[in-house]
Amino acid sequence: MKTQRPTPLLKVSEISLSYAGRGKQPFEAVRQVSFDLLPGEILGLVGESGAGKSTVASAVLRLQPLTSGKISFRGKDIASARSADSRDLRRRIQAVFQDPFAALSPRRTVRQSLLEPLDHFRMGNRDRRDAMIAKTIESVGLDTTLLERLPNELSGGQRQRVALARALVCEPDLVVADEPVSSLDVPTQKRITDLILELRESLGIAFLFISHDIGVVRRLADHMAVMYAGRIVETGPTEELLRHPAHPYTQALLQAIPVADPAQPAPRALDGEAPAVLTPASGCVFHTRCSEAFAACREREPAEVPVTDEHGTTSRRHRTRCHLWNR
Amino acid sequence: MKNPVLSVRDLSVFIGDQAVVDRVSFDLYAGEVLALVGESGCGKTKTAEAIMGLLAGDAKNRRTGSIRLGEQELMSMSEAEMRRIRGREISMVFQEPMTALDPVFSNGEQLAQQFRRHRGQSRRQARDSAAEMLTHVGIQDPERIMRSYPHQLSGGLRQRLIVAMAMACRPQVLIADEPTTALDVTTQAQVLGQMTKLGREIGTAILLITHDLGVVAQYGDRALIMRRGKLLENQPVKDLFAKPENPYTGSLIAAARELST
Repeated sequence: MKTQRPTPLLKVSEISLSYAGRGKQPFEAVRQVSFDLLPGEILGLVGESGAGKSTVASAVLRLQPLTSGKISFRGKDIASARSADSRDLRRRIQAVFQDPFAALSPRRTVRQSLLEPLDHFRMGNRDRRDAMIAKTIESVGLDTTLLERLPNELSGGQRQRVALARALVCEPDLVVADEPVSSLDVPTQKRITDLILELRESLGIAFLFISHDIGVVRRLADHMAVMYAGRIVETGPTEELLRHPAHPYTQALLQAIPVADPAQPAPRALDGEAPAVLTPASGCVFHTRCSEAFAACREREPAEVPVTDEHGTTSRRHRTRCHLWNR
Repeated sequence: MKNPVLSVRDLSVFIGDQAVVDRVSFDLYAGEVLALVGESGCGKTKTAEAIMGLLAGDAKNRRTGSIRLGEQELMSMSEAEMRRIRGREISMVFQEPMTALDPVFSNGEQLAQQFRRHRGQSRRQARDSAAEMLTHVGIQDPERIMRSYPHQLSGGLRQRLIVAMAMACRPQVLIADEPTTALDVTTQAQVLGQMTKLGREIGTAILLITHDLGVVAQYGDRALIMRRGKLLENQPVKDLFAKPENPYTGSLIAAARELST
């Protein structure tokens, strides 16, 4: 019997996106990507540069049109939203990017930056707005005295907290965070990831958290999805996926990470080149670099199948696109 | 133990009145990988620039102490003398490979030029040396890479090309400043793996500057920990992780482990 999953907040179904090449064939950056995100859930989207992570983010933020597929938010197709609905969507889905300095206007104080979305979305009256701003800035661990500062008077970590506060002040349901801690020092990364966990706990906000850093995703995400060459090659509950990675690419990715312990085995390099510079091969996108590839891998693209763990238990939520699991 | 190839004693670098590098001393031996570790702003890059004689502006004249490369004292050398040292005896690899390559020359021309300029080889000899060097950094099709231009390469290939250029003259010392920070992990493993292997083969000592303790643990032989311009620790990597002497080192290791898989 199927267990009943709650209705997803965000449902991404078989989306593909292409970028037009100059006089060349269009480049398919994302191909048939699907995932669900529940209210208050954190999904970590990992993969290397060029895998298509940010393209997925821009699709969810409606910054790029889909070539095919569908994205629903709270049960409604986001592509068909018009005027009032569209404004409501923009409030409910907020974004935080990698470089907080680029995201904040250098001539606006923190208060002005936080006031603007409230103005735009016509939220609260003057007194209420002051209270909302104060509450939000405190929720990201900053003092209200920083409200009158300009971005260049803040540290990198503080700026990223302000960028997060500006997303939160609109009371969103979902924050799309694209590499939000990648430009920060390790101790600051740790503090920001702790903060995201707290905010999820206290406000029930869902996060689509994009990162190339699996360590950060492990700390944060309930579920993760691994992208390679525009496809999601593996997805599942974070701990389960990392303990028992099924796809050869996920395994290679994990083996390449240098562990901060000299007693651990040396990182293993993945041979060959990332496919972004190559013309797309037929069959599985990873077969050109996969040590376990066999005939079928070169001929047809693998379908998504459930993964069976070392005890022979098949997990409903841990899935991979690999012929090894479908023999 | 044999004599160090590079010996730094009481090196300080001043910007204004502040010592951004404060009485730092260490030795570097042939064929080893010495990791220089710390958070941004700790003075690790300034230490490297002081060794190379590449400090900018006022700081250029405000370094004290001694830097010996074998029998030569680098501190008292003129810019002209340093130019003969750089690239030939001490070379450097930086974080961003694109800025280190010239976009208008093919990769092959740029690499071959190292052999022509520093080793006085003929055009044909230099081409052959360049192709051979590329295979040493794990590039399987050197001919294709040599015909193409820097923008046509991926980040990992570019950085391996840079490593090939830096190692072309079999320098005594290679200073690599965050060479893989801009790269993905699978690419990082290729670049660092090839670089450290090549260093051991030809006996080049590598000063590997990084903030990543995973990189230190996996690729370093010894490690220096820097904080606020001061050297806190100088230990073999095994001992550093087993029993860090300084509490700051302990906290760095703990943070790295918490954020790793």
